[in-house]
Amino acid sequence: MNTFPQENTTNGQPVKNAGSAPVLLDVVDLKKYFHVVSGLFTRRRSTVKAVDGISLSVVKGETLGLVGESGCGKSTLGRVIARLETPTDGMILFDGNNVADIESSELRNFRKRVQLIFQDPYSSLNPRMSTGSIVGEALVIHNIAKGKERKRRVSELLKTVGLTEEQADRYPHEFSGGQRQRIGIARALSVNPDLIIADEPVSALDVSIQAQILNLLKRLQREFGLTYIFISHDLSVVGHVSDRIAVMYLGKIVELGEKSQILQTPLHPYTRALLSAVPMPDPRSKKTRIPLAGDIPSPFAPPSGCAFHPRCPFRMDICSTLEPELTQREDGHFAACHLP
Amino acid sequence: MKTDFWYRFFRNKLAVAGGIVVVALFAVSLLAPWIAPCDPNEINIDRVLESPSSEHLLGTDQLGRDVLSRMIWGSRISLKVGFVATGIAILVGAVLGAVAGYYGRWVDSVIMRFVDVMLCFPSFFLILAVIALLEPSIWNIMIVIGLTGWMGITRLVRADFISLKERDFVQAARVIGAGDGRIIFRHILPNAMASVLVAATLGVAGAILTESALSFLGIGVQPPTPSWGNILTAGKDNIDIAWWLSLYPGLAILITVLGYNLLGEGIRDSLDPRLRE
Repeated sequence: MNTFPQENTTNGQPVKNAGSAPVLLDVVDLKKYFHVVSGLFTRRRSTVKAVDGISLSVVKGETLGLVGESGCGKSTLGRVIARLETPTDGMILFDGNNVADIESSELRNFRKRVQLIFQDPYSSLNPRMSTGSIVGEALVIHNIAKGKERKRRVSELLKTVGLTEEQADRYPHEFSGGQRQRIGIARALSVNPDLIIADEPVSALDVSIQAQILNLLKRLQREFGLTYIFISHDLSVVGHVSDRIAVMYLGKIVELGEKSQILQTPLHPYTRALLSAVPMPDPRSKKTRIPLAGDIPSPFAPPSGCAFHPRCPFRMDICSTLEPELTQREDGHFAACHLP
Repeated sequence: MKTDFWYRFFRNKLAVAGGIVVVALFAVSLLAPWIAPCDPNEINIDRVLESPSSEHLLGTDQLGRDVLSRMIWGSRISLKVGFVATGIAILVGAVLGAVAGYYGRWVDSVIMRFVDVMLCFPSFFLILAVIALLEPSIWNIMIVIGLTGWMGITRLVRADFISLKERDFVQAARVIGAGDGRIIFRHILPNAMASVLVAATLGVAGAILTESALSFLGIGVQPPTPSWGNILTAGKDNIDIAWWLSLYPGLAILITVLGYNLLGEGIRDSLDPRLRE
């Protein structure tokens, strides 16, 4: 499963139990619907349920992986939790406070605690701003540091992410993709956040650079006690960094559990299909592939019952009529499937 | 990125020619007191409407004033009107376009419908009407030309804002807590300046042309202050006996406007080769 070189050895640590550490983030029945108005004369309103009733909690210091195909709503979920979008319904309890509909000064304070790392390092940095002003901007906004102190903090941040202080005067186009992603990480770190939502942070990078960035993220987690929500479509990447994994399909969580539970004893047919699609570095290993027929259904017209049933190799009669609930199957392992 | 721009710009011969015309005009108007051979307002009744000679290179007008000197001083008016009017248009256009594009929804609708209304007026007649009510001073002309020329810039800036505000770096700015003002002016506007620069260069040409037309009609720059437009008016009255009085200011207007247009188009093509179509 794990194809990346390891920087640390703590990866084999026993996975954290949800009961032992304090909960940092508790998402309760979160919904984000987008309304699309179409038609010139007959106004048709269609609704996309990008995030449709998701509940999950994240424990301090852990990494929660969020996987799913493109279009399943995982990025929207990340953006709603970071409050780039206002949720349609539901609660986001951050450190016990509901931040689902806070505004202005409360929201500004929340921004100091939750940061986002973006997928595309080429579009997430302002081409007209120098590295130093990109990384130091939050220090100005939140009155954290000014003048010399700000400069010192910026060079410290750059060194932390593996860049040099001389590079503060350079502009984004002078950097490679991996370096740009480091700048984005330094920007996220500048406010000393508790939670970092990494939205496909390595998908746009070469595999060799991916490992560097993943190892950097792990090191920063140890150094600063960060909590991560790690969003990716790539199960091998998520498996490398996560303590727990949530699998999403069409705006809903279909399976959630400790990393070992998801990777070794997956319950949902969708998780099994995703796992069987991960390429193995060993050519002799024999695996039965579970092919997924067709594409992800249109989010405008999700299938009845279980949203996965049209593509499911194990579908039963009940699947097309009744939507399965997310239920606990073993300790900390949840799945939404009619299969026993 | 920047070296690419200059490389493409210098390969475009017409754009370079336009740039040379613009730079030359700047030099002429800045150096007017030193390079003008005579006092532009010195009347000499003995030498009325003389054809070009070695003494008066472009001849004299109906009051015996040196046409070359009047044209050199007139270039100052053209530049001043061109830049101040365009500056006003950019200020109004960029702010309204930024607000419309950034906030969207009803703010956008209100501003853009206002733009549509403004575009419905034939702007030249609007200017004529306003100037007829106000006194025709150079400042009034600049303000009126500016206030009737911002609509195109508003549309450009709005379009840029609509696409730029969805970009990740704007989202990133929001995540670190940047307010609307900071996002508009520090993050989006600097990235939208390219199209504004092009529109401004073309706008200068338009403003110069409008000022000439107003002065030609006698409601622009008032004599004795020289302007290319009011020299042309004198030329029109004497065209059968003094062709030089119409030809040279006409050529000056033509070359100036052409120069600015070529420069503006050159900048546009060099900024982004894909915009050429």
